[in-house]
Amino acid sequence: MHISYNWLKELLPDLTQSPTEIAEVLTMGLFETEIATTIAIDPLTTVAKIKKVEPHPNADRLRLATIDTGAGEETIVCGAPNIAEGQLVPFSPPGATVRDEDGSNFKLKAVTIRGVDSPGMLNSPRELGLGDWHGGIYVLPDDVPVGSRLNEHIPDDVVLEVELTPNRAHDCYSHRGIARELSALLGVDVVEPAGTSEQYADLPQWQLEVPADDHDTRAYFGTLLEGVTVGSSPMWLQARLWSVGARPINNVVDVTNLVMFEMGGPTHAFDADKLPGQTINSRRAKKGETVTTLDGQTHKLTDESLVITSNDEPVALAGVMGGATTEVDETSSRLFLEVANFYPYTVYRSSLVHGLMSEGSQRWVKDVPTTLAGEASDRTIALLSEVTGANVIGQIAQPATQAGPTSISLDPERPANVAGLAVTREQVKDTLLRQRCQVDDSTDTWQITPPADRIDLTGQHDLVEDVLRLVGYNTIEPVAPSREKLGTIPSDVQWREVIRNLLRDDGFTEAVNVSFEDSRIPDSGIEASEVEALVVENPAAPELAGLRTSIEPTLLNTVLGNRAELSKKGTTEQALFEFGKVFSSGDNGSVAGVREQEQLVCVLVGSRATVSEGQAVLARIGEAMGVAAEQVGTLREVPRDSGLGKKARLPIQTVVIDFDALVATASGEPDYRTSHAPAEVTYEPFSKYPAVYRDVSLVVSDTVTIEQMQESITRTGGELVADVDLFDEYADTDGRQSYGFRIAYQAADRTLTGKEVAKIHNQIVQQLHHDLGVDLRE
Amino acid sequence: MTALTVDQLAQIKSDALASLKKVADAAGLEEWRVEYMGRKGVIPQLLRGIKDLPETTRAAMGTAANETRSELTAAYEQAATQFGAVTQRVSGTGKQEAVVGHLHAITETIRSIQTIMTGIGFTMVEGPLLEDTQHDFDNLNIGPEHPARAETDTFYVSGGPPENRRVLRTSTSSVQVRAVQELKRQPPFKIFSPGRTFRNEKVDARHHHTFHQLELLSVGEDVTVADFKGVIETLFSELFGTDVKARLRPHYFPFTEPSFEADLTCIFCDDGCRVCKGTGWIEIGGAGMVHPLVLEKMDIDPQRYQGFALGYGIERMAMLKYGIDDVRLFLDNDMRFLRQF
Repeated sequence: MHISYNWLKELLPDLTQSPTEIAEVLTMGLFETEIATTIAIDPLTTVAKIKKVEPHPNADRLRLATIDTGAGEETIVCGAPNIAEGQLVPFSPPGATVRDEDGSNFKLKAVTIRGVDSPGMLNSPRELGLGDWHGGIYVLPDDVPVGSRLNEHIPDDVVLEVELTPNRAHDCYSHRGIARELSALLGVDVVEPAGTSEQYADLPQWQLEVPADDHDTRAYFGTLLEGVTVGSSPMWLQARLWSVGARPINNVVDVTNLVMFEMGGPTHAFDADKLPGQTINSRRAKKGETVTTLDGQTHKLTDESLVITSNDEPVALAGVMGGATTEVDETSSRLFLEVANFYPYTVYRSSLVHGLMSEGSQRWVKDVPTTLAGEASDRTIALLSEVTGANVIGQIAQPATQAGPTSISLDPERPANVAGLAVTREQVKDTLLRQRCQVDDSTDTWQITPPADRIDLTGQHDLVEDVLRLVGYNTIEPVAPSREKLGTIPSDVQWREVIRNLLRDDGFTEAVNVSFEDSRIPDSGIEASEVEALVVENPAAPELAGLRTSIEPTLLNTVLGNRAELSKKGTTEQALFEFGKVFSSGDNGSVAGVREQEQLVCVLVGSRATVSEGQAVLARIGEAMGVAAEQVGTLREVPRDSGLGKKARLPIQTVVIDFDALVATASGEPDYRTSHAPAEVTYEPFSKYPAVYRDVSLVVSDTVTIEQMQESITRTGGELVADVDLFDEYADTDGRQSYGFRIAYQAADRTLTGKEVAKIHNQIVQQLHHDLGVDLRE
Repeated sequence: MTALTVDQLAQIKSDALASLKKVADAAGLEEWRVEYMGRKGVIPQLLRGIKDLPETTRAAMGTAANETRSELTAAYEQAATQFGAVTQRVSGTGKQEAVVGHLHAITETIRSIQTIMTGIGFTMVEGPLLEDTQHDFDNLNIGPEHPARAETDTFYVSGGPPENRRVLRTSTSSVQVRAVQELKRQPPFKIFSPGRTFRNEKVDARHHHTFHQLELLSVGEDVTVADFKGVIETLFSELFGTDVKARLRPHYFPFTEPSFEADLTCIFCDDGCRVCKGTGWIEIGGAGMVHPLVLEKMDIDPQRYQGFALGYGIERMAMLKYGIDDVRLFLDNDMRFLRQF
């Protein structure tokens, strides 16, 4: 939510903190807040009046606007479609800074456009840093003085981005809400926006059909106003709207928007003379009904659509968007002002069904206190009267059912007991008073009455939070936890850890894969099982639509993905394993109809992919758990001609173990001691591009060490040498030593070409000879 | 650093041999190998220094070094047959991942958590990954109209009754509820649950649909916010191997009240860096005092008992601990990643 600093200062005249300080206060006190943007129109930009508009002699789409700048006349080239004589518009001369379409600023220079000099430009709102609209020049109201600086009318401002949490969006989705919260946090007074407090006459010819205690429409105020002159809003109002990223449209719509951003209550004005009739209702739509909203879309309504009707005809999607046929425009002279309160979930569903969202609907969905409707109505009427000349004819209303003030019992010791901090009664009382609660401390258990807009305060625990957050969580000193009694780890988890250690010591590397089946994985010859996979109704991707019934396919896919690494000559990385849950229909525990089991799958590749290696794994696990090897699990060879086998081009043996069953038959207790050391490992990022391997055989005398050769190679090769691996060494018959190195060439940002590799490889060999007298083995 | 001499090399060799004699088992032998002969071991480190020696002594040192390495290799191989250990490649700077494998970074992180938490009296529990809405939502005070229930965030699995649909659990909080309900635990208790969780989110460097969470729950007659702070400062100080302090900011969760976001003092810098975005604080996750309605669902009297709960991302902890910058690496299972742990 965007909050304007200037607007806050209007509501909190005694505020001394800077925007950055306000952000900090709010972040530590309630909502994460940061500076989003600033409004800063260049002081050189002034208000000019267009005296004459002529076509550009050399360009069809451009025109020449002769303007009175207050200090003389200028002729400016302008491409906007909406300029006309008599308009007041912003004029930026050379030297002024304006905003470009990509959001960056640039300084204006005098330019010549198609042969005509243009000393400056007329500006759209976007060019002035006011929102995104760039559909034409910003036309100002008639009463703004020509030659005055625009930043006098739209002063510099800082806009904060406040991250609301759902529990406080009821009262804080507005400037007044934030101001009240800052008042509680900082102890400064709020100047409440002024509304009217009149009692309005009834409208005898009108009828409101919304029943009392209606579920969807919890309050409704409909006010008929006349004498409205629709036009531009005054600049102070326009500035307020720009600061929250809203574009001024006309004074009626702008006032309703202003009240929403100011107080949090959305309102809507209909052109009263365009309404079908004088019977107003708010109800669920009937099948077959339609409504065309202000954006021009026609919607087929359902029973989940809440609509405002006039003579039973839908004229608006309640709480979401007004209808097009009753839109207020420059011909309107009478308004029907609706200020209501709608049930959150109803607006949520309606908004979802029609794919439509608005600033208003976003507020309804968070639940707006019903008491706001009357206040917002009074405030809107007062502003309409001031800004549009409107006066009230009368009002029809179904106010919210007033529940009596509910008080909450509070044990004054509770905040201290929850915090583990000495919180005094004075602090408890003070923090609650600052949040506009009434505090009755005359009895042992206090009675606290929250203000009407704090519908989040329903119980003692809520009050405790609001006391502690104002006292400050960071005044609470941590208490070191006791080490007297040790906690335990379940024995099946311990067995898992024991086997993990065993496998790791035997050269296995652990993988962790997702729990979904992946239908893209090539077939590996696994027998189709009768086990029924469970279906994910809303999968992350179409190929991940089932829950895995076995880990084997995804672990084999891991082998496939690591083909290059696993088939390196002389590698000792030939074994992977994975523990995880697998799922199927059935019954074995927590959720009815679901079978969830722990499985262990091991995969052996290359020279380790033999039956005897597989049996050795079963034997070792069996021995550790007191189970006969043949009861541990099953072995399988991946057929070389299966889809996966063909792609892998490696011999692969799998070992599949139902680990839950194994634990159930295990004898003895697992001997697992947890261990932890702070990381000695710092992860090193690796290139996504493939490495190219070149082997080199070197012959040296015994005065040269392997480290020296390595160092020479890596020094010469620099960043392009990713690894140097000694894979072979032996003594020659002539007393010299031979070494075989595999060099991995790799770039971080590209695949190296054969030519590049050959060049650097030659350099390396030459340098080895030069530095160490090393020869290539023939 | 003084230049290596032949005498020094001889001394180191005899130290190494003496140390080898004291080795009692295969694990000890592996430790010895890593210490002396492994990539970062004593011998290779020394030998890397030979290039800095003056030319006159270099050749002689080279010969001596190669001899030393051969002798130690032979001694190692003999010891290995004694213990029936599979020999690692010790000649040269052979990679030490030769035959010892690797556990996944997530496993290592969870093991650290297990160690630290059991040390301060927390007992581990596990629960099902496939849950029902009653446990994943209702019992956590997330009503049917709450946005978290929307199709978008949660994976729904077909087959269950409409009033209690099957879901892949969105947090490990459901484990707590089950653990307490099923075992009819009454306070005081301290439990922790690390495990896999699911959120239907777009996958990028910081988000994934499949991840792991750690849940803590401590309930008793006087378990306070101060206790919570003490526990997280202990957990993270030990996990990262450096003293960290915690600070709390107000936040909101349906299952806790008061709720907070916890930040830790940045472990990478003193006064601002890229990781902490210059603020000196790293966000670690949400927590709060258990909501009375949730306690009631667990059949625990909220008038008598209180406690805290937290849910933190284990990937996040591993990323901070190991300096990993992309969460997708954990599930990509690239050998070049897996072999680093």
